[in-house]
Amino acid sequence: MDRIRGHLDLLVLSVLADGEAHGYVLIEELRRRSAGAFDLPEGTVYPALHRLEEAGLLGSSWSADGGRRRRIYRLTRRGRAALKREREAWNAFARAVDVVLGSAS
Amino acid sequence: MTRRGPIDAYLLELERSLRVGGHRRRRIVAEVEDHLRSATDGLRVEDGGLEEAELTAIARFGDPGDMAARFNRQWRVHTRFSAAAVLAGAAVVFFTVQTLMEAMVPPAPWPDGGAPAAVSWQSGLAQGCVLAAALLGLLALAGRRWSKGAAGLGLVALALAAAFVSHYDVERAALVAGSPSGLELASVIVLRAAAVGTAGVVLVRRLPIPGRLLPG
Repeated sequence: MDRIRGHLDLLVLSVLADGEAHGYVLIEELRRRSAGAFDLPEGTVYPALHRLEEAGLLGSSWSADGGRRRRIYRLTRRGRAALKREREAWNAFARAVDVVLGSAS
Repeated sequence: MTRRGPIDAYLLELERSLRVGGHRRRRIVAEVEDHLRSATDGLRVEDGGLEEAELTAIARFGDPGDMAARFNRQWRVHTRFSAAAVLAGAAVVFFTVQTLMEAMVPPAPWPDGGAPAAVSWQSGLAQGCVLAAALLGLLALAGRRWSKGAAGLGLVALALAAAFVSHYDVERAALVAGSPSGLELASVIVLRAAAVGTAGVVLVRRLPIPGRLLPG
């Protein structure tokens, strides 16, 4: 699970790239996309959301849904650029790890 | 009678453990409550029992102390820089106003070569207060839990400097010909007070206050 934490920001940005969402939906989507592999304590996502918003990568606003207030997060232009950059870096890293692991077998 | 279940107890403990300001605290608690109640709704569809669903949602969310600690660590750094920035902003306005006034109405020399002792001490005290504000600004930047307190004291020092300088300006205007008019002096005094006052309001209302709890 510690491995996921190092990449949580990238995962959050990636999910929000497909559309705005509130925290609960975002976490459910993370779990669904990873087929349950990313089953981290749900509370850890909220500090990440706040941190990304402070960094200007996410925007957020309140909305009312069935009498319940919820904070909706969306990707900003800076967030989209950061996601593109980080995704490329991750792909390069993953390819390199694959090559090393492949050569060892 | 309103039911107080595990989620209410969780939120109360989370709120008590958070060391962030009122605005941020209310937002965190509201978001967590929405999450836990949404998760409970989803679990009840599967299993039915409310209390059990709430406990499962809480277990999945994580310990309230750990959750609060994550936010506290994050906002401590934010507070440190923000508190120092608020103080620096007030100081910049303070000195810009002073410089503009001196550029528009260059200070006329005191007769007989210098300010009388009954007036000059105010200028000295104002300089001392500005120095204290600068040191407190550095302390706010270096500090952790005390950063906001240091910035607050820095603003008090800046307010005292503004009071001493304003009093000095008024006395000088009464004694020296060619000094700024009453209206000019009043404008400068209001601008100085507004800069320090606005910074104080920002510091208290917008930045986290370590250890402060919401009522009830």
